[in-house]
Amino acid sequence: MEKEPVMKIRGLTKKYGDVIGIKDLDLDVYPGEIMGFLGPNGAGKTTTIRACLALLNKTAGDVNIFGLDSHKDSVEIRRNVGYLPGDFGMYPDMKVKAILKYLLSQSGVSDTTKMYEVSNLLDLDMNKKYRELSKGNRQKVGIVQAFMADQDLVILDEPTGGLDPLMQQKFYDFLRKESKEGKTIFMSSHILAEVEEVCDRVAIIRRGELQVVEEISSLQDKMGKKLEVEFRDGIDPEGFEMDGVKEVEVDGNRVSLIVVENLDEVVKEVSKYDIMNMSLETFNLDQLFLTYYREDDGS
Amino acid sequence: MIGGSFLFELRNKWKGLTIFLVVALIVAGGMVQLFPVVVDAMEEDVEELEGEDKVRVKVENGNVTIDWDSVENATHYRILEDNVSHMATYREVDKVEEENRTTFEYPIEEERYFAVIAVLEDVEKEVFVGMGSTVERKSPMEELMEAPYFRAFTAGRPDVDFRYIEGFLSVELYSWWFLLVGLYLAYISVNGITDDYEERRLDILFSNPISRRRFLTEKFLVLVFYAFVLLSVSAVVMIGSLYSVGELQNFGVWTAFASMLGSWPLFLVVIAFSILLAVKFKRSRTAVGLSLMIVLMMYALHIAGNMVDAIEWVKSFTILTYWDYNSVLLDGVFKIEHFLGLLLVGVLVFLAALLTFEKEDIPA
Repeated sequence: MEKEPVMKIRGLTKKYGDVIGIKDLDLDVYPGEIMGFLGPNGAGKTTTIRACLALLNKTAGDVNIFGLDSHKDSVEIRRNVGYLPGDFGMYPDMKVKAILKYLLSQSGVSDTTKMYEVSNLLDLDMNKKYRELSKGNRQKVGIVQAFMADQDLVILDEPTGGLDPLMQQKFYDFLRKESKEGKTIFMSSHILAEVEEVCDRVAIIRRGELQVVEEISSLQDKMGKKLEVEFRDGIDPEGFEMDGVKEVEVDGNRVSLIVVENLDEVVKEVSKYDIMNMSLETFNLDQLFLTYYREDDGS
Repeated sequence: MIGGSFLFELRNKWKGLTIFLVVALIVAGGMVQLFPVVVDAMEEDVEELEGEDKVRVKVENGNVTIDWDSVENATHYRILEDNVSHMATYREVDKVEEENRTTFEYPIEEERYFAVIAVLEDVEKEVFVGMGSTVERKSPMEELMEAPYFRAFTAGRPDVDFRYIEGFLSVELYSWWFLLVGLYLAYISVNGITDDYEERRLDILFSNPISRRRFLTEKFLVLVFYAFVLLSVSAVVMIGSLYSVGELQNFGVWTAFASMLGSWPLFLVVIAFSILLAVKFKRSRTAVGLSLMIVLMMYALHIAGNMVDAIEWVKSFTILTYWDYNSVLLDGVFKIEHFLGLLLVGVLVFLAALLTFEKEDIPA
């Protein structure tokens, strides 16, 4: 992407005493994209987000948001950033509408159009007291407050926790719509399908260190495709060890191939034999994710 | 919106603040109402002992000498002793043959009552002669003002006179006003901050364009403003109450305001220090415990310093010493240097709280 990043992270490090929260993290988030920030619990996603928003002091590194320093200019930055924390509370005895109006006024915004738009979309009852809401409805309050000031960048930390699957779908559609309208969204998640479904790019973090930053489609391409063929008779697997084939597995008459490129050549080679059955499968993020995290188990 | 959190805090806390305001007003107004009743009750004439004109008791050089009017036909006299005038637990300490005077060792320092009984031989009966005491009899008011614990509540001023409204309020209201208001302000100051930590509201609050400095300053100002209103309204209620008991002319409107509002910077220090503890410890239990303990400790040190001359120096460690209400009540002098000094301390402590809050991570 040629555009100037909305959020530019360089060498971001956060230590808690001797314990490293995140280490030497570099990341760019570009305008209008939905960027997924993927990692298991404790990988450093929330620490990264909170360090970017000056809720945590950074040990080293720089974060620029809209060209401003995240810590020196944090107040100015927050005029243009919506944020949904991963874990939050509100005033339990206040009605949702009063809470949201108060928070909106704190953003310096008086237009409530977006507040009503998002709360209607999520079927949020704004006349209830916060303490009366279920976990899912509390999460909706958090989502509404993150989007209601209609800021250019929205940072979401595990946004769909507590939402039912139908509501999740509504939320994904909403994210895509917001992105199309030019909003930049940076969302952390440990749900692979969610990232795969809505994000343009993904950054994977493990033990506080960034592993990979890629477009979802290009990651899938890099992972290759899995070609499974069942032959009538036994074959010589050495014939499939050709350029573009990453892995060959033989089980009797069945052969599994991981094809990164040259699919055309591979299919031609396969077609030299009598084929009983054949399937071609694209890798999803689940498998990709497991590839990165398998190393944690030493396997 | 500038001041938005200020108004929001006030709106959110109004119930608790109003309830305490009412309590404070009842105390400030009520104490004045008690003045005539208490003074009347305590200045009653000294109750006479039965037959005290017939029995004379004198303590000298570790001996007690009792002499009494003689009774006709008395063969001997019995002398009874007790520590209460109704002789509920008396013991016989002497038996005197015909004489009407006796002297015996008296190592006891406390007040003792002696009753003299005449025993008549011919009619085989006893006659109560009279009763005397080792100490001079005083009114309850005199006894109270001479009691060692009374000194504890006079803030080191021996001229506090309970019979006058200034002295009465000095002891009965001002001496513990710090404790009443200080404990409450310490409690709400800490919880006003730690609730935001414990209920995990800070992430969302700071996703808005509000600096930590403004956030904390507005919280501080709400409490400082509340303390000012509380003290001003208390002074007004006190003035009304003084008027109703006919003491306003003696006391004066200026004295009411100056004595009450003189404590305002004292409470500003309490609020600032409680906020400092809250941002440092972030947990209600620890911060509330510490702030209440410090308020109680200051009060205890002040009282102890008033009571015991040998440890009077401990009072210099308590900020309470710098709210000299007696100077206003008894001398008509408002110590502006103390007022400004406390104000400065309060502001400095709050700046320390701000620095701490700005420097530290907000826990997730």
